[in-house]
Amino acid sequence: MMTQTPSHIADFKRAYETAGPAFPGGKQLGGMRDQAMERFLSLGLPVRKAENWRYFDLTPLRDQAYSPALTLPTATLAMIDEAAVPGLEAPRLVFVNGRFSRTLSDMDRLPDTITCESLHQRLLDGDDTINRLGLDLADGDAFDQLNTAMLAEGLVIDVPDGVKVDQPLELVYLTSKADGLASHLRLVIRMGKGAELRLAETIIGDDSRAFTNLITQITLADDARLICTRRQLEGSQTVHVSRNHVTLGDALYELAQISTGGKSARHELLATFTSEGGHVEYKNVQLAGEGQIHDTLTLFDHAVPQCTSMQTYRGVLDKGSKASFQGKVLVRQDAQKTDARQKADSLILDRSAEANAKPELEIYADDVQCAHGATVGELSQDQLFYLNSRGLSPREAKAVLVEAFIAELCESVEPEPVRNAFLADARTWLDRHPVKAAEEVR
Amino acid sequence: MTQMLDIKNLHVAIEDGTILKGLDLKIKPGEVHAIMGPNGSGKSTLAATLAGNPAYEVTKGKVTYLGEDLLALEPHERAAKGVFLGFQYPVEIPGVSNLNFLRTTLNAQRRLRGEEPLDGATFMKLAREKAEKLGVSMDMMKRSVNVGFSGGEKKRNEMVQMAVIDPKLAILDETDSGLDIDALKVVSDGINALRGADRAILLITHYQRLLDYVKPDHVHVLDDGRITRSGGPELARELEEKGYQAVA
Ligand SMILES: Nc1ncnc2c1ncn2[C@@H]1O[C@H](COP(=O)(O)OP(=O)(O)O)[C@@H](O)[C@H]1O
Ligand SMILES: [Mg+2]
Repeated sequence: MMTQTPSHIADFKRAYETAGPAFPGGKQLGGMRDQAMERFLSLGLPVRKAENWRYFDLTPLRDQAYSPALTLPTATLAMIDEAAVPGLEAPRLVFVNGRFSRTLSDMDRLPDTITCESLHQRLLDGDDTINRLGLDLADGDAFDQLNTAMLAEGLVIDVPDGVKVDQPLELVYLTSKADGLASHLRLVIRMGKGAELRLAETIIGDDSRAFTNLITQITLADDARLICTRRQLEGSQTVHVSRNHVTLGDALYELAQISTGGKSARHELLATFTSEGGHVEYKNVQLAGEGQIHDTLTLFDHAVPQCTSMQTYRGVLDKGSKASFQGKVLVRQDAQKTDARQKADSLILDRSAEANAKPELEIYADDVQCAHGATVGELSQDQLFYLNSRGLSPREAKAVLVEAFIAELCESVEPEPVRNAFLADARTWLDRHPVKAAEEVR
Repeated sequence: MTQMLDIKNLHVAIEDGTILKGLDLKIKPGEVHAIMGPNGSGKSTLAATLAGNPAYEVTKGKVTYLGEDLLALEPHERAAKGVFLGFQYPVEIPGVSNLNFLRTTLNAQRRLRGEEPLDGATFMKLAREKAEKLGVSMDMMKRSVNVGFSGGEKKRNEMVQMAVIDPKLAILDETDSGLDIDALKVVSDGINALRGADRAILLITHYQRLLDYVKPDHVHVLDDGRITRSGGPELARELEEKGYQAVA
């Protein structure tokens, strides 16, 4: 029987063939790309029936072709300044429309104790260490394969043993005037023994119908600390899929995230503990407006004893939006004394919103502490009236209560400029939400 | 003299039925009125209706406040025009500090009235002064609104809000219940401080006790959704002695 390749798959193939000659790297890399593309073609995009994808919507990826930018896009420093975290004293690394921009980045301000180079440059240089970075995600799904096939842009950051970097690094990804653009980005971050680093990411864009496919591979040796913050503020027509693969020893990995952007936006955090004493802390605030679908998926593999993990999710859903939290904790047989906690709370501002929470504990060890809780609630009429009776309009009252719902998470974010940016991002969202009810429009 | 509040033939219904059944009440500026009545007689319903709680539907009647149709205004507009409701059961709002709540609400009212918002320093000075008078510590002012407060603390907190907001018409729904005698004095002082020629206070209470400290000009008995008797302060004492049944 002949099966016809769906047109969107053919589109990705065409994009690959067109961009191919421009991709950096030698023959060996070319072989890896081709294989990844083959795997992508046979896997196809995930379908709704797949358990992990049941709440998501990939229709925008099927409806239109997306291809990488072949020329270096331009953006002004003013655009980056506007996107970046106000008041954060940090060297910036900047991507515009999926391409690393050396001119907009502060390469000469990077701390000289670390190595940080654009992946593109490393591939161009024919760097023979590149094979050891584990770029080939042979077991991965369609997004991993696409990302590998189109591998061209990203960063490789190495923080050597014992190096503690005080100053954060700021990563800004800007998408602008980019209908049909695909940004397949790959970050590789390797933290040596006792190394410390802070990263502040801002992913931002206009209303382009674009596709961001961001994969971050992180390894932490014992006693390392990596503290990350991420603002995902892309436009309401963009498809966003980001996936963090984290492997850690007796180390600390933290990610605090706020997400308001994307038509379909999905965040995955996949963490594997490889030696005793590891801790992962994940905080995620999601604000979804009309027509948006937000997914958060985590998989924490407690493969060894005495590791701890903490996940806190707060979702706010306005009229006609959908958001889900799927959090799986796997505690393997040897992983005694695991302490894994998960809390997912959603607030729906309108009955037409759909909040899904699917905590999943799979536990094979007997001496562990695992807890999860999930709630979905609405704003309290009593609280709203109390605020109204004190002089706040219905909109203002809602904004106060939504802010209260997410305040605790936002306020725990460090450093201060990023915390303020999170709060400001939430307020920007609240200026536009909840969408006005008809009687309020007058 | 013109009325501050003029309630005519007010009927109010909730889902389960009609609670206020033809209530009339006139309050002039400068006056303090007390409404007393047995549990379930509709006192809180009257208070909630005047503040504009959407759960209470006015099915008949008219309420004029400072010459304006009060019922046509949204709750927040009523607040900005000087109507304040002290809740019988103040609401807890986790995640919003008392100070932030007060400043946000006060400035929202000022904005609606076309006034400049108070700057941080001026506001803090005001809040500190009022809180101190009512025995509410700055530590409590920094905590989430009413969260973990005792019944008495919640009532004092209502009075701090009232003092800062400085309303024209204060409707105080059982502000005295749950207070010990010392707290009652403090709260009474707070209420008395609000008395003035261009203001009015409507005290809703169950007990005569509060009226020893805040002397009302008029006392009304509310029974089954109507005012069945009105009189001077002596009526409160009579109620206390003989009970609602005999008096009403
Ligand atoms: N929101 C409400 N929902 C249902 N019943 C109510 C509500 N508010 C008041 N009632 C009922 O209406 C009647 C009057 O209540 P209320 O005004 O609270 O009386 P009071 O304050 O005088 O004790 C009572 O029978 C009470 O149970
Ligand atoms: Mg009552």
